[in-house]
Amino acid sequence: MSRSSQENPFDLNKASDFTDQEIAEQWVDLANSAGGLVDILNPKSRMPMLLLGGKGSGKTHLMRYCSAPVQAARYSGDVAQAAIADGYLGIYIPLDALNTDKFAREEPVEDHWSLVFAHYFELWLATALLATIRDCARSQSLVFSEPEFVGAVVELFDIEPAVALSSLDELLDHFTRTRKNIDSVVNNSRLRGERPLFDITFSAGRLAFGMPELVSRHAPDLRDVLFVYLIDEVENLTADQQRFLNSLIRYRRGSATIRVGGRLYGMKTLETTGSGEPIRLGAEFERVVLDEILREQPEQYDGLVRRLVAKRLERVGYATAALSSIDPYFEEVDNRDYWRSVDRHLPKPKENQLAPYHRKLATDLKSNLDLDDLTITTIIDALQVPNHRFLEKAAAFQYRKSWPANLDGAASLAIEVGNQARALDQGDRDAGSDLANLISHFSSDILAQLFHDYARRLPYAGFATMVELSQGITRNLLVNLKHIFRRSRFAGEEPFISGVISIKSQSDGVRDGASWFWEDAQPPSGGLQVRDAVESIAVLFRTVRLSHSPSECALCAFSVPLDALSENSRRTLSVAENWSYLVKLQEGRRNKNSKRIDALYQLGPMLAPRWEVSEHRRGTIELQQDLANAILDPAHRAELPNLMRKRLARLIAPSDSGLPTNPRLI
Amino acid sequence: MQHDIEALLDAKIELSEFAARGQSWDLFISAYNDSQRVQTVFPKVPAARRNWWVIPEYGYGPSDLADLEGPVVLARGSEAQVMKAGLAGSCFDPTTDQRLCIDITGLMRPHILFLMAHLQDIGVTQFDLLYTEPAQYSRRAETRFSIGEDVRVVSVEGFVGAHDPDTSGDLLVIGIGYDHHLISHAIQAKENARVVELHSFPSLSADMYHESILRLDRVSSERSRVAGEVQYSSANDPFVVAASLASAVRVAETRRRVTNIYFSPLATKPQAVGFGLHYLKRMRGTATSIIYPLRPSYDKETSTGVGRSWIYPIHL
Amino acid sequence: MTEIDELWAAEEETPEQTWEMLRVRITVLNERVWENRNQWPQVEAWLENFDGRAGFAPEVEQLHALFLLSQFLFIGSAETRVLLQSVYRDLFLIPLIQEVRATLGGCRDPLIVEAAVNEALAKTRFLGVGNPSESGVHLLYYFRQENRLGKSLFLDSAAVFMSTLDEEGKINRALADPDVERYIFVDDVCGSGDTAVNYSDGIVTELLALKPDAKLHYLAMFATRQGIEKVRSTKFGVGSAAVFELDDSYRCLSPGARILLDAPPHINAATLEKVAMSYGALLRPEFPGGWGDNQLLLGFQHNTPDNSLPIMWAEGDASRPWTPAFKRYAKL
Repeated sequence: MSRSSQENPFDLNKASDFTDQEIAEQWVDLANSAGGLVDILNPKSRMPMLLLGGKGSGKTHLMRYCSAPVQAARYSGDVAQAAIADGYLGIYIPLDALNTDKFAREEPVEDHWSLVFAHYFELWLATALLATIRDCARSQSLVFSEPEFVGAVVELFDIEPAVALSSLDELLDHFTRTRKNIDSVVNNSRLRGERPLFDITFSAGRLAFGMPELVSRHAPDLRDVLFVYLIDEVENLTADQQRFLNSLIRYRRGSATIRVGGRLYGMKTLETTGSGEPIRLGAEFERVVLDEILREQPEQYDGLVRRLVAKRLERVGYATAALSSIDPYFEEVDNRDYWRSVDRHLPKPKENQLAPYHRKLATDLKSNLDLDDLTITTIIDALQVPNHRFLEKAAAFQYRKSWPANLDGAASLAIEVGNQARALDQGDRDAGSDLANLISHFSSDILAQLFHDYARRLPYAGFATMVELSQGITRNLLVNLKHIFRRSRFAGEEPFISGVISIKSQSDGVRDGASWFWEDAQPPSGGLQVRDAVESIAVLFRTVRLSHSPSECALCAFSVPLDALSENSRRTLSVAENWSYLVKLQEGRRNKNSKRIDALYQLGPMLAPRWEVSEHRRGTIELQQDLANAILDPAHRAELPNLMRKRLARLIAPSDSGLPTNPRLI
Repeated sequence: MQHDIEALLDAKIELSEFAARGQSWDLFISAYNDSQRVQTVFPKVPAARRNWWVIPEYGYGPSDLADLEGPVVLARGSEAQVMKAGLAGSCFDPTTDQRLCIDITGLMRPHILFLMAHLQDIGVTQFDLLYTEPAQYSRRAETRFSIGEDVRVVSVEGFVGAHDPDTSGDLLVIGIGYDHHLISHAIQAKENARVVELHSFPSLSADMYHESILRLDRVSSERSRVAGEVQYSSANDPFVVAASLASAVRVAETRRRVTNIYFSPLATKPQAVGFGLHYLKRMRGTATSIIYPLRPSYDKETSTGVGRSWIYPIHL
Repeated sequence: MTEIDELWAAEEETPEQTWEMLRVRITVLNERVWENRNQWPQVEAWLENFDGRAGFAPEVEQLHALFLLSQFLFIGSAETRVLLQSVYRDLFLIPLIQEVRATLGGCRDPLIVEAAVNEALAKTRFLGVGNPSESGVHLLYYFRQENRLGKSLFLDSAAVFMSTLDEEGKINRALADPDVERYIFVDDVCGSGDTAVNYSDGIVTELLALKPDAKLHYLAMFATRQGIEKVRSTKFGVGSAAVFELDDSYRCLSPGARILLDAPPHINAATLEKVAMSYGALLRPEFPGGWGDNQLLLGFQHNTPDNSLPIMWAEGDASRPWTPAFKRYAKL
């Protein structure tokens, strides 16, 4: 399909933006060697599964890809043949359409509302299933004993329908009428405050699991086909409603099974109705976290998103870009020769004026070591690297990290560090090896400080950076690319047609993406608390990064003693993780002082540009119990300023003199 | 029909014009809050009986209400519980209180909607709603951030449709207002629906439309931009809103098959009245619901001054 | 957070940040409402006009200019069409329905009401304000399209009257169609109200002389409050209205200007005025704040009214080059 090149190729970023046909056509998968995405969902297995993942990780896309209409699209519209060939038939059921709040406006609900929900929900599943069976039965190639099947389904009811039913259409009408009657009863009950009254016409599980068995009997060609309920967006159900779903998982039987899609913590309970005994992981269901899998296989993810981007470009007519490597279209910050190129992204140095980092250093030398002006001038002169601001800044950074103990050391340290920097400028890595070593660790932080010194925004550029920022979630990447494309075109560039997308457009675009992620991907509850906590963590990272002497390079993660935290703190962490503000890293971290393994969290890379912190998984900081609680638990927040001051004192001031007199940073 | 005459049979009237005709009501009800436009209109309305309702969302305590005469103080609950308790507290009797007027200026949108559905359900098909504008619409006064607040998107009681499991053509019509976070919540609650934006244009003041576009853009990553899914409607005339809403759905239906429909009036209160009118007159019993993002509490009032008061004559 | 704020690597709000924020705003407006009229290279070309001649550093002048641009109310073609619907529906049809229902004893039957409305409509004529080459008239085409009105309901102002020679050779002026009861004059912007006043003194006076009970309305998309008040004091009378009445807060350089209510850091009211008026005086010495000193920041897809600031729409000449942001197509 060719469209106007005015269209933003990344405008559409939700599964719901696509028709079944487009889902089939636009599908991209992992390279086969690792087993494709469909293998992750494993629709041919009878074992029920919870498919969890962050918002936009592709759960819905995957489930819809395995649903009957898209299966049919892959087999020239013949759903029966698709089912036989694939060995399964997917019944996609998004729960947002169930409008579950009408059964549970306030919790806890009275018992009769649970019953209403359970009955209605199964009727809903049965309707979706029956509509798919009808589509199958219409296939020319299938032998299907329709009247017998319909008669057998009628038998499943405890109360027989008032009118005789002989066709699938009539049966479907009957389901629909029954459901609409309940809808009307429910609406009136809400309007008038009456108890909802209607007949329960079948027992739980009879239709959902009974009908697939009958299909095998009355359509022999389908006897090996597994019917898979793909129940999406499980977070729409209340805990009470989930109990009924869990009961269905426990009591599933025959040729029907269940996949449940949802947010990481979308399942509020694993308990079942009645006894309440929880369903068991491994024995009764499997659990898969989609974006976690993708984060653990960065090469696979990288390949996946490249194919995805190529499809999007192709779709709107950027044929050349779609066929070639994507990287050259994204301008990158040139890191050759120690980032010599960044000079042109900074304001021109002014004649007879010290660089901002030297100005600040001079002030600190004076107030901290009480040096005289002449010595200070000597020191600053010794640290100059003409025409190479990155190395000059690196020297100042090194100087601060080593910080002279006394007046005597001050000048010699400057000469030593300055010589190293100038040696590197001349290409002499041996003479500059100490500084080169420091740079290899701290380059991204030095860069961040340098841009901060000049009140310029830190660049984020290059396609690989975009992939890294997306944290294993394809929609994040598409959202960033959408903003980048728009920024680029506004700037008068011709993205994917000629030239490159400038560093500025990319940096602006990822900031737009970060704003969206931060402001509009809002948890429905507990949001304020989580946002305060995440902001504190981000600002802590930023403060360390821009400090006098950062303790960690490229800080982006923290470890906490999970067991020692307050209940509130743990909840904050899980909500933050649920909304991908924080990413829990699997390895954990062994605590330095005990044998305990602490939980390890990374600040969501999507948010990194907002606070200009590192998006790479490198530096980690340990948050002890009291500081962690102060950040994560509003009840302890009052303690935060003091604890933070203690934690940061050594990093932000040039000496151990205790609290900084002037807390402003470099 | 070039214009939806049926929807436009009734028109808003200025309160002063109504009063000048010498007409009055049997019962007048208003939801109390701090704004001048609620407080100054109350004594001026020609009515045999006048009653304040104190709704729970504003969080008033007894000391705030000392000066009010016989207020009906309402406990927390769903819109159905709160509004029914209000009518009971005002001893509303459809046989004697034949002419009823309710000031919606201080009510929440779900309250307004439920009241309309409930009155219709108990056979009160004619009543008046009153709305008072602030003195000046400045985009600042309308600014309200709900960022990070607890929000729950619910179906408004009395507006629960009979929905279909086939969701392939679900439609969400959003009355675009100033609070883009609410828009974001509504869109997320119906992620599978295609979104029709009903913009308030002409806006209440000339610059508000541009501001709302800018705010809407901040949730743009949430929405798809399928061409033609932008429609326009009046910001302050519920009858025009009802007509535009009907036409917006019609246009959407001509483009792609529609399965379930959700309406979410997130702009002005008069807009909510318009959504209610259209639903109660034309959408009851279909696969259509009105949904609304509920917040636990609201500001007592942000606007200043008293502008024109409008009467909306409702015939259901 | 306040106590701890001072400890953080706090950001001061720099002019660069204001600049970036305004650039974002323009990016969005350009895409969503300005119909891509001003991409950044065009914006930069316009900003280059501000080179320090108002007495400030060029970057200060440009920041203030950028702010004004970011507040520009551009009414695109889709919005124009919606406003034309609104002129018809809100200012004409809705009052007409109520008028008709009143004559029918409050009738609620949509079919009866519709028939009566159509009857009244048949005795109505719509006219553009200005000569056929001007925007009021130009808009009538879209007005008719949007409101699906019959061609016969539209008139050129010259066709209102019919002139005949009587036996004595004297020209007799009469109404071309004496059955017409309502004359609706449609305009885009009523700034000073002068155009409408001219009409009132001319054609309207003559019309009323021939048919004293004719109902007249002057309806506009936009009007300044003073402008529309002035029109209401003419023979058009109180039936004159605008979809948007712009009060003094829309005079963008006045002390009560609404754009200043949420102005970002580094935008100063006095500087704003000096920048706009200094360059305005270079471009249009007679009215540096726009015609009638209306100081509007308003433009349409089809034209920019001269009531808007000249720095937005004026074009330079060889001796004083100037690149406009929203070009005005002047009446010749």
